[in-house]
Parts: sequence; C-alpha cells; structure tokens
Amino acid sequence: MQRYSAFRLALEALRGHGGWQPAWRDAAPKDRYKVVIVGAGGHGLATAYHLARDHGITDVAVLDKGPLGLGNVGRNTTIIRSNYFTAPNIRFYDHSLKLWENLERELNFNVMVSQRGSLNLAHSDGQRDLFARRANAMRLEGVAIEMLDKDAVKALCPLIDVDNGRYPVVGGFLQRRAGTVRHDAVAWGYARAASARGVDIVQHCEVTAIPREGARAMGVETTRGFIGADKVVLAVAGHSSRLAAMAGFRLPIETHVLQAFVTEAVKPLLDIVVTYGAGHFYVSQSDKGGLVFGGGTDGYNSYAQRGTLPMAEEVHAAGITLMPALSRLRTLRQWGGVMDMSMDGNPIISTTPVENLAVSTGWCYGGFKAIPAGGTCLAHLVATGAPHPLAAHFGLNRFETGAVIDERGVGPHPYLH
Amino acid sequence: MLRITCPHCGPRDEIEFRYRGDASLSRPGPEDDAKAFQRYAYERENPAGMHLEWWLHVGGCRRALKLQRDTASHVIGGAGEP
Amino acid sequence: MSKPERGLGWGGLPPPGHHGALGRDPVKLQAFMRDAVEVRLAPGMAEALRHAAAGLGLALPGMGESAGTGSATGAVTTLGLAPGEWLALARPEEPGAFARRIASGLEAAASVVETGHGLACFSVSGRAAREVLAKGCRLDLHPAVFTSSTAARTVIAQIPVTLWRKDEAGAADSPVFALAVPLTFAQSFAHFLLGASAGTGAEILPASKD
Ligand SMILES: Cc1cc2nc3c(=O)[nH]c(=O)nc-3n(C[C@H](O)[C@H](O)[C@H](O)COP(=O)(O)OP(=O)(O)OC[C@H]3O[C@@H](n4cnc5c(N)ncnc54)[C@H](O)[C@@H]3O)c2cc1C
Ligand SMILES: [Zn+2]
Repeated sequence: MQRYSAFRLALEALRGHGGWQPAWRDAAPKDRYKVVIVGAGGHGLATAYHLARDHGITDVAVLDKGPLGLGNVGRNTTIIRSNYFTAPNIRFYDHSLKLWENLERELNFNVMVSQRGSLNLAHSDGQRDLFARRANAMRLEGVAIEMLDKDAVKALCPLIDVDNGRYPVVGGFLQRRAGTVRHDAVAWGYARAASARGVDIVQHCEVTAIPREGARAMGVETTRGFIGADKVVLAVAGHSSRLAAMAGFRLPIETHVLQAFVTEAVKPLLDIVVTYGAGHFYVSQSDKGGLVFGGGTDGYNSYAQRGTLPMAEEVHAAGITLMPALSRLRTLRQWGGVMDMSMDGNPIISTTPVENLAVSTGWCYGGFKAIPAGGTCLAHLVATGAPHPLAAHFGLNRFETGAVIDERGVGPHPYLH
Repeated sequence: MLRITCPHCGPRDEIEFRYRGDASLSRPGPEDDAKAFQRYAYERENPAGMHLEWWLHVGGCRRALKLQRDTASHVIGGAGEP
Repeated sequence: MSKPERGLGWGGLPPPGHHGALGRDPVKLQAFMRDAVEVRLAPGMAEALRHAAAGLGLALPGMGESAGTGSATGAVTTLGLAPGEWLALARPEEPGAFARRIASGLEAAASVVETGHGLACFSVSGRAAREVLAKGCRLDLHPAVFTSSTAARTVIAQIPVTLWRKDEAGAADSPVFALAVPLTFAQSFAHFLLGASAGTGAEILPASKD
C-alpha cells in the first residue's frame, strides 16, 4: 500500500501527480474463500479489515452487487455520536466514537472526522426530563454530555428560532465529541486498508442464492459464478431479509426508505449538528458549504431507493419552522437509501439458524456511526464464534428470550422507530 | 406519492393514511407456543414485491383497510375492507 | 376590550378588513359557529336508526353504505363521514340543547356525542375559493366532483379538516366551502388560510353565527 503523507503529496505535486496508485485492488473473484462477506458497505468492509488486522484472516472476499460505496455508506448524513439511553448501547457506540477519533491514523486515510458537536433540542418539560435521564445514563458510563437551557441553545446556534409559536425550544442536550465524518471516504479508507492486507474487493457481483448442505451454507451463487466459503457473512443493510430468505430463514427486519437532502453551498452558517425534537429534521453543514439534512423514514416498507414527496415536504417544513433562514436556500439534491429497520430499532450482530452464516443488520438510520465498532465486533464473532462483549446484547436470540432493547419504547413497529 | 383508493372515501392522497404493517400475519392462539408468538411479533417476510399491508385512513373515514402494494415500484394492486 | 362571544374567542382570523393582494376577486374568509354532534350507528340498529332519524326530520346521507355525502334539511346539516358515522351541525342554540334533542330522538339506535365545543369552523367563498384551498387541500374541489352535497374529512396543512359546501345548489361559480378543524388548531389553520389567500387577496368578514 502506498502510504499517504504530506511528504508524498509534495513529491507528487512536483511530479505532476503521475505516481499515484489505485487506492485498492478491484479483484476478480476466486473459486473459494475462507470468509465471504456479502455487501461492501461500511460494515462489510470494516469487518474484512478487522478480520485481517485483529485475527490474521486474510483469505476474505467482500462482494457487492454494485460499485463500492453506493449503498447506505455513501447515502447517509454522516453523523457520529454516542448519546444513547441504555447502558450497553452507550458502551458500544462510545467505543465506536473512540475508534473514529483515531481512525485516520489507523487507516492512513483522511476521512475528515469533525467533532463539531451534536445538539438535540427539547420542546417540552417532558422531553427535557427524558434528555436529563439520558444524560445521566451517559454520565454513569463516563461519557460527557451537557444539558443546555434555552439561552445557551440560542447562544450556541443563533439560527434556531427558539421562540417559534408551535414548538418553542426549552433547552437542549449537547455532546461535544459527536460530529460528522466524510462517508464515502470511510468506504474507501476501509477498502484500501483491507485490500492492502490481502482482502479481495469484488464489485458488480450480486449474490443470487445461498446453497445449503444441511445446516451449513456451501458458499454463494453470484452473477459471476459460484463462490465457495467456509463462512458466509451478510452485511447487506436493507437487503438483509432477501439474503436471509436465500439461506432459508426470516429476520426481524423490515426495509424502509430514509431520505437525505443537500442545499446549494453557502458560507459557514452552522458549525454543529442540530436535531429538532418536535419534527422530522436534523441538519449539519458540509465542508463544501451545502446544508445536509434529513428527517424520518418514509413510513412504509420500501425497497425503492428513492424518497417520496410527502416526507420531503414534511422535512422541509420542519426545517423552516426550526430555522426560518433556511427558506432562503434552494435544495439541490435529494436521494433515498433502503434501510434495515429492526423490530426493536437496534442492530443485530449475530449467528443465525445457518451454522456458518453470520449477519450484521438492523442498523436502521444509525449504522454509519457504528461502522468501526460494528466491524470489530462482527469480525470477532466470525473469527472466534463467540460474540464480542460489547455486542453481546445484539444477538438474534433476544427476540426469543424477550431481552429486546427498545431505546424509545415503541414496540415492534419499525415504521415508528 | 401514493394514491390509495379507500373503499369508503374513494381515491385519496397517502398523507391521509398511516401505515400499520404486514397484514398477512395472523395471531397465534392460546394453544400455540412462545416460538409462534415470536414469529408473529417479530419475524417478517419483508418482500421486495407485492406486500399485503394494513393502512389506517386516519385523515378520512378512520377505518382500517388492507392494501396490496409493490414495495419496489409502489404500484398498488388493490385496496379493500379487512 | 369586549368579552368574546361563546365559541368565537379563539381568535383565528384577524379583525374584519382586507388582507393580502388587492386583486379583483378577493375570497371571503369568515369564522362561524356551529353546534355539533357526532352520530354513530349502534351495531345492528340500521332499521331503527332510519326510522328514528325520519321522525326527527334528520337526513342521514349514505345511511351506512358510503361516506362523502352531505345534506341539509332545514337548520341541520348532516355530513356522512364514514359508514355509519355522521356529523350533524346546527346554528348555535342554548348549550347542550341540540345534542339533547338528537340523542333523545335517536335513543338506542345510535351513540350521540356532542363535539361542537371542540370545533372551529371557517368558510372560504368566492370565485377564487377553490384556488385558495388547493394550496393545501389535496381533494378535487371542482364543482363536478365536489358538489354541494359532498362532504369529506381530509388533511390540510397537517391539520385534520372536515370539509363541505355551505352554498345552495347551482352556485358553482361562487362556491362557499365550509371547513371545521379541531379548536386547538384553529389559529394554525387561520394562518394557513391567510397564507393561501395572500395572492388572491381576501375580505375578512366578522365572525358569525349563521
Ligand atoms: C439517508 C440516510 C441517512 C443516514 N444518516 C445516518 C447518520 O447520520 N448517521 C448514522 O450513523 N447512520 C446514518 N444512516 C444509516 C447508515 O447509513 C446505515 O445504517 C449503514 O450505512 C448501513 O451499513 P452499511 O454501510 O454496511 O450498508 P450499505 O452501504 O448499504 O452496504 C450494503 C451493501 O450490500 C450490497 N448488497 C445488497 N444486496 C446484495 C446482493 N444480493 N449481493 C451483493 N451485494 C449486495 C449493496 O449494494 C450495498 O452496497 C443513514 C442512512 C440513510 C439511508
Ligand atoms: Zn376512507
């Protein structure tokens, strides 16, 4: 792997940038691998990297039906944070945040980690109480969080109309270590680091069947032929149920679409991530200057990978209610991603009814921030057969034992998570 | 944008409706075991194609209806009373 | 300051006068009052209800088969909003009197719930009324579709709305649309009406009992 550095950049500048090599190998599939990972999104790639780095397993292929980075890893709104409510989740997501803090050095890749802080707004006393409870739960786990009153919110982010008639802001909840990361760089950074350790990244290779022999998967049938595998890993986000069906089991997953939007670029306007507590809207400003924002899911099962108009309208209306100045901007682009919504709103990193097949799914609208920890934990599960202590609560069996993790208490209704 | 033909109100915009999930499930009886309830409460077919689902016409007649909809193309096959 | 009249204290629209553009065809916006009861057919009582309603002189459009029709007989307007479900509206009288009259007339054939104190009613009339409402209403309000005997529940500006026509049949040219919204949303709904009519202009009329 060609290392990136200021020195190399200067050198290449003098040589007219003729010496750069491709960041990763676009491999053709072999007949057989020790581990075949389906899905070259953030979780598939990070898992491959950690299999190689932490467990010395390099006979690994990561297959994707499309080009690298066009799944949710390149469609999300790039927010990282660990402001969860239940203790095991705070531990897992904060571990992920710590890995993000060192990821650029680790991967030798500029993924543009920006710890600009993330502010969640409260609009009623009840909501503020709930945030206080969440803040206390975080403090018990040693994670810093600040409760802000209305004036502090206004001082931190003057764009917010704290006195808006319908949903005045009464305060907020600020995690300063939270922020954003450039999403496609994450896919490329992990691909490059995994590829350098011998992992094959195979694009345009769609898995069409998962033939079984008894309780085991023999490998995967693909558009580029059969690929044998000792172990198969599914990391296909919104397509998890389809792949599980190929292997002969059902998941507690529904597929829903989440949209994102970007405005025209403007000068620095917003230097934190803000999440509205009364409507479907959250926003940050990218380094290019566009405001990147999103809201809730479209509300019903969908594999359409494009958003619908009513939610687009609702998100814009909520945004303008919260920050009236936004009405001066034009939205330039909009897209949707198909998400793996689990029945309790929490991820699944687990073994399955198929002995040698593991799955990472249920990431909902929040799996980007989890990529470093998710990859670590899934690699651990695949290599050792036992769940990583940080992700032991993400097993599929929780739906059988009743140990579901419902952060928000809405029950098994993905359209409400 | 979906246009759903409510059996009581006629064609209406999707914003008048709330989605209520998979309508092909049937609740296990008291004689069934915990596994059956787990399947009913949590496991879903989640097809990429025709899906039978519950919708509630909250913004109209407030009645529940069953809808056949393609989850990939959003084409609606039909709607009817439960 | 004078004390607001019962049912008209929710403010909603600004004081009478002109609002928005000075167009040739301003719409008329008006808040008005209604006593209201929700009538629901009791299971298996369709025949009894038909009978009792006839005795009261109360028209129950659709009679359980369909939603979406309205009818006015004398002072009472009845809107069929769902199978076996109607909203009956009348000009304000002594508090509770209308509901008592309907309830005692229908007896066990239906459940009758007084809802008037929870409703705010607006009318939008004039040649541009359809154009103004179309800014938020997703129903087809063309006179060929939304006739003077049509009624519907829908959603406008994220607010649940019951919509009917308050004009005499044949007034296609200058329809009078009536809209009832939950009282707590009255102010927000008035905002919508003002925004939607700013382009055509609006004449705001004093709140009325008629
Ligand atoms: C609009 C939007 C905004 C979001 N915002 C955030 C956010 O701010 N913060 C956050 O933490 N999370 C966010 N998320 C969630 C996050 O993006 C996802 O949870 C996460 O990226 C999913 O994991 P992944 O990267 O592995 O998935 P993906 O990148 O979707 O990877 C799955 C891959 O599987 C491939 N695949 C599918 N079927 C097959 C097949 N049959 N054969 C081969 N390959 C196949 C797909 O092509 C795809 O590349 C957001 C999601 C969306 C859609
Ligand atoms: Zn209906």
